[in-house]
Amino acid sequence: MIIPLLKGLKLTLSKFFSKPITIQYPEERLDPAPRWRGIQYFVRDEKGETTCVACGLCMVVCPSGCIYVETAEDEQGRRYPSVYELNTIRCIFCGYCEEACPVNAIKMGKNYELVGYSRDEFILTTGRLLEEESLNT
Amino acid sequence: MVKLTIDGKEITTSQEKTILAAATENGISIPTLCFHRKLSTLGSCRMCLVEIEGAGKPMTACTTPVVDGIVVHTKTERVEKMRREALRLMLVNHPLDCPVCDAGGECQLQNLTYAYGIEHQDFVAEEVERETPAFVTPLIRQWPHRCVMCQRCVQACIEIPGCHVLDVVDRGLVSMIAGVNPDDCISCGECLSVCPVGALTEKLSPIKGRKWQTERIPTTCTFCGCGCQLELNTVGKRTIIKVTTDDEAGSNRGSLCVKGRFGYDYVHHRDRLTRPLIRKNGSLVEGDWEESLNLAAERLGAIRDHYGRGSIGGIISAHHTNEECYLMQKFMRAAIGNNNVDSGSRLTHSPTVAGLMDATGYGAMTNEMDDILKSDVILIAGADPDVDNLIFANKIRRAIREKGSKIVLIDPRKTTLEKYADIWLQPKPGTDLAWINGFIRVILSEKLWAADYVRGHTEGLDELKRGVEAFTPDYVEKLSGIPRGDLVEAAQLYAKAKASSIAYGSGITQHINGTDHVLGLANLAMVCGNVGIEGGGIYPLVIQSNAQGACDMGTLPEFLPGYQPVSEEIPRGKFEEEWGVELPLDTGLTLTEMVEQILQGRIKAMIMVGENPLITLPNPKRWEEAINSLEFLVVQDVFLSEVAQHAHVVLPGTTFAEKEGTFTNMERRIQRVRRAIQPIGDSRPDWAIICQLASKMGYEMEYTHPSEVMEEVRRLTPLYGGITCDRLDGAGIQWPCPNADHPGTRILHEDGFHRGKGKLTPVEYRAPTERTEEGFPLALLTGGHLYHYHIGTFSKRANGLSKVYEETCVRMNPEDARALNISEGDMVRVISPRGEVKTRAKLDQCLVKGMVYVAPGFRDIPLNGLIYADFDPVAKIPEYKVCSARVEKI
Ligand code: SF4
Ligand code: SF4
Ligand code: SF4
Ligand code: SF4
Ligand code: SF4
Ligand code: FES
Repeated sequence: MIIPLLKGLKLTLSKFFSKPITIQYPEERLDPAPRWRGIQYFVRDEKGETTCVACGLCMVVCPSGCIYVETAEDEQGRRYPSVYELNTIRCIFCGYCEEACPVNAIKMGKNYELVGYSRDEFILTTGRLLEEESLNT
Repeated sequence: MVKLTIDGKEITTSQEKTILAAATENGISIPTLCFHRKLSTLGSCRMCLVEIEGAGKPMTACTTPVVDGIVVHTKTERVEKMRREALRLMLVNHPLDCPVCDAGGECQLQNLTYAYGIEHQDFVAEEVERETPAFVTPLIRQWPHRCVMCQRCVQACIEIPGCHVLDVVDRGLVSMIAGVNPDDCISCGECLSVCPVGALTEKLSPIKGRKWQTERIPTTCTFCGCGCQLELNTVGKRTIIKVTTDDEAGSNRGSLCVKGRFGYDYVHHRDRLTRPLIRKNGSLVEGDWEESLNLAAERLGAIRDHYGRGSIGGIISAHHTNEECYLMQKFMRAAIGNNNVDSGSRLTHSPTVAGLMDATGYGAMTNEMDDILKSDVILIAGADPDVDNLIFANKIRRAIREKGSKIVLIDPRKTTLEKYADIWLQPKPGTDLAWINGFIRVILSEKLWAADYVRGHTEGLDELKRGVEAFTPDYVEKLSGIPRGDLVEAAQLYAKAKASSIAYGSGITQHINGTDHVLGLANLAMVCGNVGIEGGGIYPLVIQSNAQGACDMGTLPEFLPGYQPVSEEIPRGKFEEEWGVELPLDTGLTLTEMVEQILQGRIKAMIMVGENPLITLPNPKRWEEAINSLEFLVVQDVFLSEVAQHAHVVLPGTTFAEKEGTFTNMERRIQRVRRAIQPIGDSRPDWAIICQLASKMGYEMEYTHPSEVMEEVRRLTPLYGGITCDRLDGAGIQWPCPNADHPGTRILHEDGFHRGKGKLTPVEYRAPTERTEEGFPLALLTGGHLYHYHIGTFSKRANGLSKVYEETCVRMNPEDARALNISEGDMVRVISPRGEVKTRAKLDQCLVKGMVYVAPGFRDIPLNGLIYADFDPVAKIPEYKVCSARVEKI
């Protein structure tokens, strides 16, 4: 009867004197796994703009319907997203958007810190997605 | 009938079918690319190859007719391979543009490539470097690399608008589609709509959207009486980004004109009124709805109570919905208490309503538009359908092509249809009754009339005979300038055919004797037995989208909805009971009569919904004076029109894209108008505004949706007795439709005339009031303009339309111009005894000497100040068409 008790105590004592495994977030952070799918970002072109051509494929492939794209065309016939909104509250981080994108404009990032004080902060627009990029390079 | 086997299935079909048609009918699908049901077959893509047992090589199913006993295989390995190769070859030069191509998601090449599992292609071709010249119209962008050379666009342009603008230029790898007659392009967008890939895309809207990014709301075009069905493509329920069509919908079957396809963006113009305006200290300032409605209701109420019920007049435009027109007249009759209600159709359509109603019993187009395809002879008088009603013109062209119909064109101008005309008669403006009576005389004296029909179905033949007696071909020649031989020949052609139809337009109606013209044409049709039969009929062409509906809904001073006279007790009692008020008995004032009544102080207040008499009516100075003398003026409009600038309260209404309702097109077809976007700013649908105003005036009008209004119309109007909103989804219904099981009426008077017997009315010839006079040697003609609609309130604000055609111009014969030392593009003054306008000159071979032509009603060039201010005694339509003028170089 005393044996199991001692066994348990042994474990407790060994942990008690070993190095703690708690990560002191946010002072300390772990690197996410290599295939981790975090908050998306937009790749920048040489001018620092998005390479997204607003084809709307991410919009149609997204299983949770959280991407909204409005497409605009300039005088030369080039396309760009006049509105791009990704609602991260609804996103399930499946990564389909990245996979569907024909020009590799959107990528799943490493960032997992999804916090904000209002719902609007969770809507990633073109500008926010470009900012996200800096967290991933 | 032939029997054949396709993929093991026994099929019986008629022998003029192709293998493709037979297969499609029986649910066997054969891939196609260049084939389009609307067009004749091209056979250029070789996607539809099939094997026929016994035939050596595979055949194209879209071009090969069925033959008795053949056995066809559509899915053999050999043809599949050949199709795959054909596709690969097409992809050699095709860029991988799908992500940025408008067609993506609906592209036939994309679909076929996917279906045939082509993931890469191994042929490499030299990069073809070439300049892309500007496309024939600035409204369409061409992407030559994406083109698969199916030539649908070439064929569509030839066959549908009859233009032959496009063709293949150069050969081999560098060949491409380009404009061969770029000046002939009318920007109809037919080429755009048939292109199976994204080689032609719409260039107007900067915002684009794939099928899944947009909503497509089917609705009815608001730019002319054809009532084409189209789909507004919207994003986010707020912006219209393009117009597409369904090849099956409406009588336009997927075709549109430039106005319908590219005229939509006026809806988003920055000039749109977004908040009510109230006059304070002399200027209009923004107010809120509550305040402005209260003010309007209070002032109108006070004027009604103080000066009497007859002291208020109401006008609604002819591009408002049926429901709105109905509510407007109900408002005037029940809430105000008089019959002073009229609509914009007074200015174009009223002679037709008056004339045809008198002669036959129904004031509308007798046959449906598609019936023109069965006409042996089509007489087109005073109409330029290529400009005003392109879809109808397309049908005429189809009749010529498919049935070999003969065309008699009667117009002082050489219109574009002249090239199809077998006979072109060129009467002097305003002398139409001369040739009409002349025709009838020829027909009667040569015994070409339909004796049995006339005796059995009509009355008044003897009077008519006496009436036309004097109009010998010589006399007609003297009056109208039409050579006698031509007159006789044309009359014979019209009378001898089995079924002849008459199409007429504003050149017939917009005269001081417009109603007489219509009666004359009705005589002509009836004498030859052409009313109430297939392929015959009378086709009044209507410029405004709901001119017919506005009249049907009773925005007429003498009729309650459905042409039930206000003076008669029985219909009136029914309305009194439903509306819960006593109705006024005496006929009210027409739009054209109101001005005098205002000046004489009998009308103290006006409500104008979408009309702008300062631009549309003659004598604008007098109107301005009248408007200024009003004690109170309420204007409901989408833009701050000229008349709105004089208003005390301006209420922002919505365009057709922001409201529900119905339009009745010129073939009497009632079709849905659907809301595609939210009202812009704080504007409200006009039907709702009228209801709110009435309720504030103490007469409750509570409707939550326009379909409830239609329900009421249905109860009160036998003509619309079977019209319910859900029945209208799809093709719409043509009135008369007395009950819910009635399918609608394609052809009127088939079982005898609605009024009992057709009435032949002798019509007297009156010389046009204004002949060219001393100092004003030219005849000024006015007419429509392809790129613009009505007075340009909408169309001038549509970027697409102004892109192609910014300002109006005066067209004149080059010889006349030379004599006046005017060359193309010069600024000139057009002067009539009543006023002058400044505009640019354009030399035009199509105008005969002594004639100048201006499209009317451009807001910045108020042509109505020039024209004659007299009007037709019956229909009260002003004389728009005849006026003398001179042109001076500035
Ligand atoms: S990760 Fe998945 S759910 Fe999230 S936006 Fe992309 S496709 Fe949609
Ligand atoms: S992110 Fe990629 S898939 Fe999404 S719209 Fe832009 S280009 Fe298309
Ligand atoms: S827009 Fe119409 S007229 Fe012009 S090229 Fe195309 S089909 Fe022909
Ligand atoms: S432009 Fe379009 S319709 Fe015309 S040939 Fe090319 S692919 Fe065919
Ligand atoms: S304006 Fe007339 S012809 Fe042109 S699209 Fe509209 S309804 Fe059709
Ligand atoms: S569809 Fe038959 S050849 Fe193109």
